[in-house]
Amino acid sequence: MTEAMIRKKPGMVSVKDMPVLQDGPPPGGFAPVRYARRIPNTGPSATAIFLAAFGAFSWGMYQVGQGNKIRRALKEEKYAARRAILPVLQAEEDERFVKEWKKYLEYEAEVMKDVPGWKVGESVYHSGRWVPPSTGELRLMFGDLVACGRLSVVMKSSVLRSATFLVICLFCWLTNK
Amino acid sequence: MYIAVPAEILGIILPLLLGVAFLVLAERKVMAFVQRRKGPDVVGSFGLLQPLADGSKLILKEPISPSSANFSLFRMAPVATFMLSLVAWAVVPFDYGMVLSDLNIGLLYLFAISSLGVYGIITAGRSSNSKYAFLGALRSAAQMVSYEVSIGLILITVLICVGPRNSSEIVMAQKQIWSGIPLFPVLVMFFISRLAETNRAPFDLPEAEAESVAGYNVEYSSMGSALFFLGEYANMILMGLCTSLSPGGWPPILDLPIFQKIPGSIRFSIKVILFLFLYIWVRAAFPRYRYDQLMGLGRKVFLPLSLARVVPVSGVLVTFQWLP
Repeated sequence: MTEAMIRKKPGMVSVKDMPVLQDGPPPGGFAPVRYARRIPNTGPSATAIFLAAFGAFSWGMYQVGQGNKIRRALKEEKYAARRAILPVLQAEEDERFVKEWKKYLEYEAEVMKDVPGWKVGESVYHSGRWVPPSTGELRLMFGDLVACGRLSVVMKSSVLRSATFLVICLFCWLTNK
Repeated sequence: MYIAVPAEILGIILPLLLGVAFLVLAERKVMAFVQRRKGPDVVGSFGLLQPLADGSKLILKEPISPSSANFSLFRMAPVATFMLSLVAWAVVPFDYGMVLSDLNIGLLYLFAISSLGVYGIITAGRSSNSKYAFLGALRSAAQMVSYEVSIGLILITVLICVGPRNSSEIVMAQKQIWSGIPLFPVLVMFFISRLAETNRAPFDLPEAEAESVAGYNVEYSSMGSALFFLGEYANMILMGLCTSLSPGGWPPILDLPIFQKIPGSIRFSIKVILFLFLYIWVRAAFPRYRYDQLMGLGRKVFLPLSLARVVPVSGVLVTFQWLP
């Protein structure tokens, strides 16, 4: 219906008399189309490309080397700082451990006071050396860290470290493994 | 801390999904402009609502699953593929300190995730219980595995220059010089291997329409194939990202103050977008490789070349004590 309304000529009786709509070239024909291939064969030669790549590689690797030297120095500085404060941290942990150990000895004395021949704090091993306690009771707890104001450590993930593990952790932390 | 992490995850996943949706549109439009026609521009202005229309269509249509398919595997495969391509984004650094998880083995994690992607494809092909899907899946998986080897070797080359596998540190090491400049041939090889890895561009024979009846996802309809394609495009963005980690992640090109004002993540996104454009351009420009040519290229050209690149790089670095 709409085609008839668009294309009608006046005096049209039926759709069969509609003027023909043809899709043809514009008047004067189309513009000439280039169909021949035009693939350029110019450009840098193989030697030029190779030298450019080699130059980029050398200069780039030199820069990488300089950057690595700078990074190594920065890392060394970080490790040196950590090594410097290690004794202080270990001393604090030792103080805390000694306090806990004393509390533990008092508790043991109170519990075992009726047992004859019990030496409080006596090592249960025969080697004669100091063996740290194997239970987790004397570990660094959440509350200890809050109490000594180490809130930044509290906010990080690892909270439970025992005194024996602390040394291992510090070692790994020092060398950033 | 425990509240922030889901927010960070959402903050990565939501823009990523939006990005994937619009990447589909961008690909269609860029390819169309390369071919001197306009892409979809009916739905919104410039076709911007096209992803929405496509997504609604795919969600609302009835999923048809073949009766003889192994049902649980069949349903799981696209989900697994999609999940893997999302999970890999956890170690991507967007700006200084803006990583979801600053793994010390970040690069190794990325490589492992792309290796796991092969499982998704094999599962899809096998559980479809159809010869064509199975063969398509095997071909696709073989291609992915071959090019992963060369990707791994190229990553080793970058790692030798840069040092640890921590993803933030790899980007920070680009401050002195972009790794892409000394390793420019390596960058090209990496780009091509990434194209082949994601079954993309000239290497997409296993999922081409005319060959092998669309490969491993022939039996999937609506949401299943939507998930596969989402996963593939998310993978593609990830690949663009890896390729842009090499030429420098967020440190600006020059240390001009004007570049400092643009936030790092935006500079990073611009680089990723440039590489994605390159991906789409390559897809539009080159004819497809035949399968034996593809595998030959992977095993006979890229593998030896990437091996060969490791040697001078490591030699130079050790000789002049320039190791990180």
